[in-house]
Amino acid sequence: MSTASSGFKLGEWIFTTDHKRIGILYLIGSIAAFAVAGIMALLIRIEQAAPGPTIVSDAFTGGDQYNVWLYFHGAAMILGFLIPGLTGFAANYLLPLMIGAKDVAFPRINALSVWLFWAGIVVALLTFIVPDKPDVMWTGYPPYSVTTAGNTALYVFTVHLMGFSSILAAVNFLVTIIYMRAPGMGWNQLNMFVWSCFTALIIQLIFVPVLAAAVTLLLFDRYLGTHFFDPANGGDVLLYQNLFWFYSHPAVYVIFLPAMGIFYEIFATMAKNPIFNYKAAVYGGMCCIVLISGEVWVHHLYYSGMPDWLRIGQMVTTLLISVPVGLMTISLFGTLYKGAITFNIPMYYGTASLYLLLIGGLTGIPLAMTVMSVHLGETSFTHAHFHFIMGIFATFSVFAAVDFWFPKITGKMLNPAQGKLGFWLNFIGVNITFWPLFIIGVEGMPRRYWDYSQFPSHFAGYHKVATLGAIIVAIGMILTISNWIISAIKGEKAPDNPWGSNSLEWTHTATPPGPGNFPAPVTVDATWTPYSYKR
Amino acid sequence: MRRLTGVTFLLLIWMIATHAWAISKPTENSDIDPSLFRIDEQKYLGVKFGNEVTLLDEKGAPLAFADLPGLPFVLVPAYYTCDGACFNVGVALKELLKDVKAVQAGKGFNVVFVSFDKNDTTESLNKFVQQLDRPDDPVPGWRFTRYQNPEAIQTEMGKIGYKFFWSPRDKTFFHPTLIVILTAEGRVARYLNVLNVTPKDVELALLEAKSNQFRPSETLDYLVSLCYSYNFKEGRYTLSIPVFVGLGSFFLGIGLLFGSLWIYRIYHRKNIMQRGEHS
Repeated sequence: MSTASSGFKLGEWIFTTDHKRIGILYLIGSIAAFAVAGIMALLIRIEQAAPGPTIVSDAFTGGDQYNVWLYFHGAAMILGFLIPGLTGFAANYLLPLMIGAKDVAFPRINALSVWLFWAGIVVALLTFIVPDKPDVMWTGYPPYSVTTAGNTALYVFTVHLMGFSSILAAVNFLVTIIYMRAPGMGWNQLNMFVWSCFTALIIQLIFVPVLAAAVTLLLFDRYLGTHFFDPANGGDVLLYQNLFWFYSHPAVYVIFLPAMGIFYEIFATMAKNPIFNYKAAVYGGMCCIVLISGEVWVHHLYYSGMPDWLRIGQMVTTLLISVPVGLMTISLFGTLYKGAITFNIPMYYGTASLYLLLIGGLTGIPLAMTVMSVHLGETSFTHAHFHFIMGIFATFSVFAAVDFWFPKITGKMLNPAQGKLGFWLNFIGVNITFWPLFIIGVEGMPRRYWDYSQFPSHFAGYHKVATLGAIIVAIGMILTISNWIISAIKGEKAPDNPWGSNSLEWTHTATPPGPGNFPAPVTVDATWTPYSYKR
Repeated sequence: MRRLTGVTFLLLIWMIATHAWAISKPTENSDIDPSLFRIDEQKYLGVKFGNEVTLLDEKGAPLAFADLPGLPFVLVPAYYTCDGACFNVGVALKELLKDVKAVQAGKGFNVVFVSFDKNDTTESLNKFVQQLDRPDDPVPGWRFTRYQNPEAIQTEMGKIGYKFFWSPRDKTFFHPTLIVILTAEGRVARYLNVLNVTPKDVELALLEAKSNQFRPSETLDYLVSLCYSYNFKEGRYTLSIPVFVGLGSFFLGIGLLFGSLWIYRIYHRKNIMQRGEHS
């Protein structure tokens, strides 16, 4: 199927094997998941605006309703939005274009992966229809997930579908990067986004099967009467947590790396600078993250009981991973150095990301340390920390990616005024939402509590401010997403290369790119890089 | 004839009466329900044992748990005039420990017998040791003790949930045949029924007890021990299937990567060859 067929035909979109269309299908699905997850977030925040029941029915069943919101928010954000948004949408649309390939290595498998993803979205949305809604967070820890009346199967099937989809996508893109680069394109000439996807997808491919296995055993425990995670019958309840975080902490880097890759592309293009310390960022940063990411999961279990030596060892590896992250951050800052920076909407998100990275990174240090993590780990301090580094930083990267490549995808320009207003509301809103949670977290406000009547009364004031922030974010998100929809329909026509980028997707393809991506086969010489800007 | 009928009738009544009496009279059972000795393990795991009391060793000299080398313990509650279960426990433990290879008694852990009989003396203790620990078969790292203050026995045994009863009729203690694995700090790590476990169970329990202080040479054994989990229902260690499933799926991911690269190469080569044939 081609992208250049006349008119909209649903069948062509459903059965497409074109990586660009598949990328757009991923984007639509992930934005749908994001929208519902956002509504859940609003419900959570409104509930917490005051102690006691606010919007939940009553004090008796309030916890159950709240748990369902928490479940859907977490599962949809991570499994439905962030991972598919970055490795599904961005990687699908951009990766073959950046390496000069006509398509991905296995186009039909690519189509299968997007179908599985959509099936996962549908199964996740069933949460709102089934009577016993899943209430197991996105972690699904036993024994609660085995004993709850909630429908754990929906959680497990969502993980299966999304997981299988991402395994297929990872296989496809890794083969594509290894074998389908344009003739003459060496590894050190790859775009940073390509490198970031390459490393993130290695993590994805290795670790996702472990999560799939863990939740399958959970399903057996729940419905087939096995006792894999039941200590009373020879199982090991902590083993689930180990298997879960063995994937789920590396999953942070599956999100973080492509997000950084997107910002690298934007920074280099908008500053018209080469990547500062390219090799250090790639080999010392991204590749080292791959190596270390599998040895840090135990810090999620500091309070679950483990030998001291393991606790100390994991503290060291957790702190150690900040070195490659630091290298990448320095490289990102350095790319702006003495650059002729153009500030537009993608760059606004890019600049904000530096701040988010800094706050999210620095607040992660105390949580990596065992002595402080024991006190802060289960408070809203952690909640704010991972929202800064994982939630907002990564969400901003998806927004920045859509804004940056919007002209290429749609052939239209975004409305800059609406885009900037959306950005400022988002940026101000998230700060108003999460800074109060840092403060009351240090004072002992626990995570995941729907009612905090038993805690100091001044917590209510902070929660009210945080709720106000969430409402501001909601308005910002509506403005941002509606800008995409309206501009895609009736935006100004975009020039072929509005940002003056040197990357192949801008210089060698039509806007939007047609079937086969490139009018003629692409070859590059040894001196070419996507960042060789002459100023 | 009438007399015979009368005798028969009386005999019948007597038989019915004796049966009725026999049925109505509760059976005197000399056994004690074993469930009385059951320990709610999860309640006592992690409990600290024996750090505030003084014991008396084989020579009657005071000995505190703190004086023993900082190693895990196999604690064996027993009494030294016991001619049944305690001796059998000792023998069974000796046999089990012969096949425990990963940790050695005296080097990696100690075995400490503690008497719960206030009437035990140095003499009864040594007689028990002689019976158990024959000179031709010495067992290193084994200590035999009793409480200096007999009043502490009930409190100390109660701390770890160990129950025992003196039966005046049978002139014996009823008690479970348990050993308790303690960490070097004296915390309860595991209860094992010594007559129902394998050397592997004892080895795994000891490795678990010393998980905070295993030596580099024991790393492999420790990693192997992670493949097992304790089954409270069966009272022994069983293979932890999720570990193997997790490891298998981890290698599946790596296999998928190399498999897909291999498939693409074959597919690509075939395409090139087909193109060559057409041209």
